[in-house]
Amino acid sequence: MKKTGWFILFCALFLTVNLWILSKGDIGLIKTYPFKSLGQITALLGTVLISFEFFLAARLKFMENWFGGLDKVYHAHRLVGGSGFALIIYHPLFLIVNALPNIKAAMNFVLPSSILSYDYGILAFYTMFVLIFLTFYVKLPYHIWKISHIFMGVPLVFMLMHMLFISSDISNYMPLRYWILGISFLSLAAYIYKRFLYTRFGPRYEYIITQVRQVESVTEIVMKPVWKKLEYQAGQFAFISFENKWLSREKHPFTIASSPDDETLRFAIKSLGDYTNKLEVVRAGDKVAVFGPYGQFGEKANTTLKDQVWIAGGIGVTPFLSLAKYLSVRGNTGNITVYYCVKNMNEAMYAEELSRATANPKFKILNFCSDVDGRINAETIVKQSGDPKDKLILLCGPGGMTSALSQDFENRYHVPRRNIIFEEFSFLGT
Amino acid sequence: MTIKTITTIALINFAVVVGMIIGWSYAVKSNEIQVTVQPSASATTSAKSANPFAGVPQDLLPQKIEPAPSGGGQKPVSKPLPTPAPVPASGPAQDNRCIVTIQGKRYDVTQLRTTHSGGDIFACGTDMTNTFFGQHNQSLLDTTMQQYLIP
Repeated sequence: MKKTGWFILFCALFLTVNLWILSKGDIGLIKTYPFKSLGQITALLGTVLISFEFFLAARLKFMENWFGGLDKVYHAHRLVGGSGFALIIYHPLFLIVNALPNIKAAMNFVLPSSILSYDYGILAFYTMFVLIFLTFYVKLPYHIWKISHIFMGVPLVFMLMHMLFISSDISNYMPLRYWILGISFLSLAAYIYKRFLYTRFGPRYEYIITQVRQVESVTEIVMKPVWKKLEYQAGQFAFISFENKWLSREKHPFTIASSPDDETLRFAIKSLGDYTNKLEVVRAGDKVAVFGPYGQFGEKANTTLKDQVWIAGGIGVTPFLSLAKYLSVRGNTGNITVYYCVKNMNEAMYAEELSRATANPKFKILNFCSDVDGRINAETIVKQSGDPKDKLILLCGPGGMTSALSQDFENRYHVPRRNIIFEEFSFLGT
Repeated sequence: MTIKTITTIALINFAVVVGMIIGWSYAVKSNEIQVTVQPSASATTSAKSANPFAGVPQDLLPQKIEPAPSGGGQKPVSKPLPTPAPVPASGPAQDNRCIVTIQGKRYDVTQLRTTHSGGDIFACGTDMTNTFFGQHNQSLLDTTMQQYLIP
């Protein structure tokens, strides 16, 4: 299922190319007018990619299944959106070259004129340029960037108007017209759902905070459901929005630290940025909107009978708190070795909680302090836990740690890629 | 290569091409201005090009400045040069139509220039086959454009 999303995208692009070729009565026209042809096909493929970009941003459950987790969906969103825009840049570029040496005709693709259908295209291009520029080249604070990204619907609307009114292959050949307009209108629907309907009609659960605990830079929040309990798997995460006058209502992703068997929901959030630094203001009694669950981090760990190695770096321990509590009681699992990596034991605030899992003899907990033991590496883990080739390896922690360990396990110890599980949380803010 | 790099390359390509055509359009404009101020511009015939002021009364022509006699200290005195009067065209009647060629056939687009939905993009007297097919298809040429075809 993990590759289904890419396969569907490839099929959509393949279909587009074929419909475009069919739209040419005479295929020789493509060779006769190469720049015009390139201008057309880049526009069509760019449109399909940008439409997919909006599907990928809508937090649709089936998309998560198609790509293997919401982090992979957002990774694809960035890749597909960027590629789509790069192709869209070449659309006017090739048409300009095609129009040369007629400067007047060429300028119609650059500056607004009296031709409405062209003007919509030009407006779509420039508004998209500004928004992509802010994403790729300007390091804006998250909440400001997020506002700028909300306006992504504007170029999409201009793009649709351009396609509706332009006199080209998409107006002459109906199958191509219905395909391109259909996929574009669907992407507009995905945008409207995410922007205006998700908060009300998305997978929303009302909770109320019952307990807040502050331990150094970590805020631990426990909440109970107002009506219906969120059903989730151990290791998943949710987007949460606090109803607190000192906090914005932005939704932020946090891993669930409680077990699916618990009646309450628990999050352990480290102060790492503008938003998380303010979380100390939340109080018992505050209402919380919880959106989810998302993620497939614990999916294999919850079901496999293989031996497992879990490596937690700092606050990356949160999904393992959920998994350990759940699997130590309920799980029919292989042997599980947990490495809890911290700077020193003062930072190992969940060491005691993790050690409770050892009530189940299949669990082994090893605290690893970088002050004493140095940086954790694959070699150390292999020495202590044996050949990792047939084990399931779960990694959660700082990006540098997870990428270094996953590469080591894959390249040096030949652990199949599918058996190394980690999530790229940096993509989830989108 | 990251997606950011690919986008950056595409943007640089776009900026270069757009910069070039903007520069080109300025160059073309300034060229047109220069052409319009030259007295022997388009209205002159080949006969006139030998003497652009043929038929103009002598008193309206620029005064010839005689070189100072050798050894004399007198400097030549120049009189202000009067602007030559407009020269009436004496050649065949000028064709003001805008005619372009598409696929080897000639089309009179004089009227179309004012109504064309894509604006006045016509380069009169040139082969616009590529430009036409850059925007339209054969069926438009075989139907709508037939009214402009010069038999």
